[in-house]
Amino acid sequence: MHNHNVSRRKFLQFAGSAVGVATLAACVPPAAEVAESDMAEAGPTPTPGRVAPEDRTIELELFSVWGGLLFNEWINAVEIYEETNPDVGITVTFAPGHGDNPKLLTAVAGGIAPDMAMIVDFSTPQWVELGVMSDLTPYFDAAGLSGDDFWPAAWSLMNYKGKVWQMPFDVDPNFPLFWNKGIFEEVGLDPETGPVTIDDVNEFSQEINRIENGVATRIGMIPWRTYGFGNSIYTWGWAFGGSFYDEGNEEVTPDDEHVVAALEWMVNSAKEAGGPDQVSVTPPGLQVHFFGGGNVGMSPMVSVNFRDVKRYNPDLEIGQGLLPYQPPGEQDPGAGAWISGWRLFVPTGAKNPEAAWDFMNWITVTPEGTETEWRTLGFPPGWKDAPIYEEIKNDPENKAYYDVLRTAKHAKDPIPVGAFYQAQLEEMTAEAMFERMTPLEAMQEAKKRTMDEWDRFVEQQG
Amino acid sequence: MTTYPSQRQRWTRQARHNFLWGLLFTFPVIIGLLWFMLYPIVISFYYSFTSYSILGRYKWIGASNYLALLEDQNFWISLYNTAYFVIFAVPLGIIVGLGLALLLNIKVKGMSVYRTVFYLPSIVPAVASAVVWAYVFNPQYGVLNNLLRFFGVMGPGWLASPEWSKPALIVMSTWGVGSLMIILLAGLQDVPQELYDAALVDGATWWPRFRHVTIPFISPHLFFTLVTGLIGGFQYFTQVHVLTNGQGGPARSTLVYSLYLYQNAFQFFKMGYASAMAWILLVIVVICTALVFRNLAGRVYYGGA
Repeated sequence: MHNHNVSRRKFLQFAGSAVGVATLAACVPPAAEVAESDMAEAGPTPTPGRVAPEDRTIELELFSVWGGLLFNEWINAVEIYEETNPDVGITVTFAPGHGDNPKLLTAVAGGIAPDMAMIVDFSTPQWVELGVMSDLTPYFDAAGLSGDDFWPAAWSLMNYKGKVWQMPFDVDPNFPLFWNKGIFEEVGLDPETGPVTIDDVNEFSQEINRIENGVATRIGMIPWRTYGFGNSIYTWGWAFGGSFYDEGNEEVTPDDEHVVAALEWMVNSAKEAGGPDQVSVTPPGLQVHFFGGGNVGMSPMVSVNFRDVKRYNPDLEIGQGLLPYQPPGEQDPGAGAWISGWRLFVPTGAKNPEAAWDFMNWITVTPEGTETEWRTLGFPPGWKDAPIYEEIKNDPENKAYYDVLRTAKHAKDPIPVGAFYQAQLEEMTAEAMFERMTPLEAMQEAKKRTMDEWDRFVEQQG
Repeated sequence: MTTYPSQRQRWTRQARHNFLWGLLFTFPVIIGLLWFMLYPIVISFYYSFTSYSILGRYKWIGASNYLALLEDQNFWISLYNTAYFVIFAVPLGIIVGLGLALLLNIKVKGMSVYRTVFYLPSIVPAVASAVVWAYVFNPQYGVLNNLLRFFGVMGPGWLASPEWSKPALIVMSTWGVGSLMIILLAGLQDVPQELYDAALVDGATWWPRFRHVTIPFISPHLFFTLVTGLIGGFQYFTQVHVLTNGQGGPARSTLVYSLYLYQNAFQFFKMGYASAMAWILLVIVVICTALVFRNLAGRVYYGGA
């Protein structure tokens, strides 16, 4: 009998090669890791899926981008729908993703698309061009709906190239401005009067800013943290009267003079606070928006964050009003406000689009559905005549959002490389904030890259 | 001299029988490997020459993706960030792993408990540990800056600062050295005690003993950790994705290669472009690994084997 001993050299060579080959073979990050990381963003605990009741003849599947609390609220909304639709059962599956959504896209590509999925509004043109979304126009028309039934800024991204592609269960009024009355009082400002112009913001901030050991421990406003660098430049660019897109020439315009002026203001605000990375006004365990920490004088906030801040810190006295603007580019308070939000759509290849439409129709444009959505998920509906708005506009805490919905003029622009444009604005705004480029150079670079990508997209995908 | 039967003679009926049974039992794994590993590898090479976007039409565009990458500023930035990470994090990981292994090789009471404690971080999921480290690096409230403040040093912004974000990631990478530590500890326990004793009799202090006895004997293990660390470092992804919300900020300072590849694939729908990136990464990793083998494999001591 032969004794085949393996030497240590052989073993280590073999083990090294095996690990090397296996690792090299996995050059693309595995989906499991991606899902895992997104789950951490979505909530503290992994969310199990919700399976449709067994006794239903029609089974639908809804992909939710959210885990955690919002996932549970989706389940609550679905159960209310199922009570009045005994034939229909809806499975809710966690499919994380914001600009990206690998689980959804691979499901569509693999021919196992869910019946309904969610999309952030500005991705619509690109997803339509790529063939991810089904045309909802026949259902929309048959339901007797028209663009006039929706908030104008929401409607602008519901339809693309003359067809309807998604239904808005959530329109985010981005944003009212909130201020901390306690801080205002402490530094000698009138707690009942918020800033009207950006100049007012600067003036108030000088009173509020508190720098300790080079770090801002209390600050008037953090304009570069308005939901990321990209959303910050959109918000303040519009507040300065800027424009991000020239529809006539089909050209993005982040180098618009007012947008650049807004970015210069953001950069200067950061400098006065000691630098964009020297702001530390919230304890790391804070689970709500940084305004809830009580060390920020003024801040825009979305409705869900405002609600959470009130719950987390009920003693915080909060003033609210429209977003400040800056002449000469703008003349109207709240001019920087814009509408965004999440929409439901039927992915290409979905097996039961009629039943899916029925649910989408219910939750977006019926009195019962929109009320259910508001009381569960808590987003303002895109249907502007929803009866629930009587309650929303009379609620002192939500009135500011209703005012923004009525007055907001802007939405992100319907271009087929919307996600790419957003990413460039994010990156280039950061470059300017950290003074690696001037604001003008940064915005010119964002424009160049986006136009190059648009040309490539048309040439290669169009 | 031992003679072996020829290939034909070895295939007895029993051997064939065993082979077929073996195939039957390994069949699911073979199919899985072919379908989920080999097919994606091969098809990604094809896609790298197309405008494939997961969905929708695509066409053959020749070497356009590769040429476009050469002019893509973010490609070079991501390559630089990744190289920076690999150059500092891999040696640091080995040094820390070796240091811990040496400490855990000392014969003291309760050593198995210490070993378990030091190994624990490497089995904590990468996402969970990244979230914990976000707390550690908080400029105002973080443990690290509080510690520095105690010594009168004003800590930097760490993950919020473009200058300090990469060093922060490198520091964080040492959190997962448990596996390296175990491999090196196993190596240390293989070093013959009689060699230490002989060195001691010859009057060698701890450094000559470490340099001339320990290091040669654990050189295969060091080499193994270097090669696998190098390959893993080039694919660094999860922690940076969690800590920067998938953006590689601030100001692209943590935009590592795999993250930019992911952005192209799933955010910008440039799967062909991302495939080209994956193949370039493969070539880079192969070249680096080959260079390491060429320059260091000869210095590895395999105990006379």
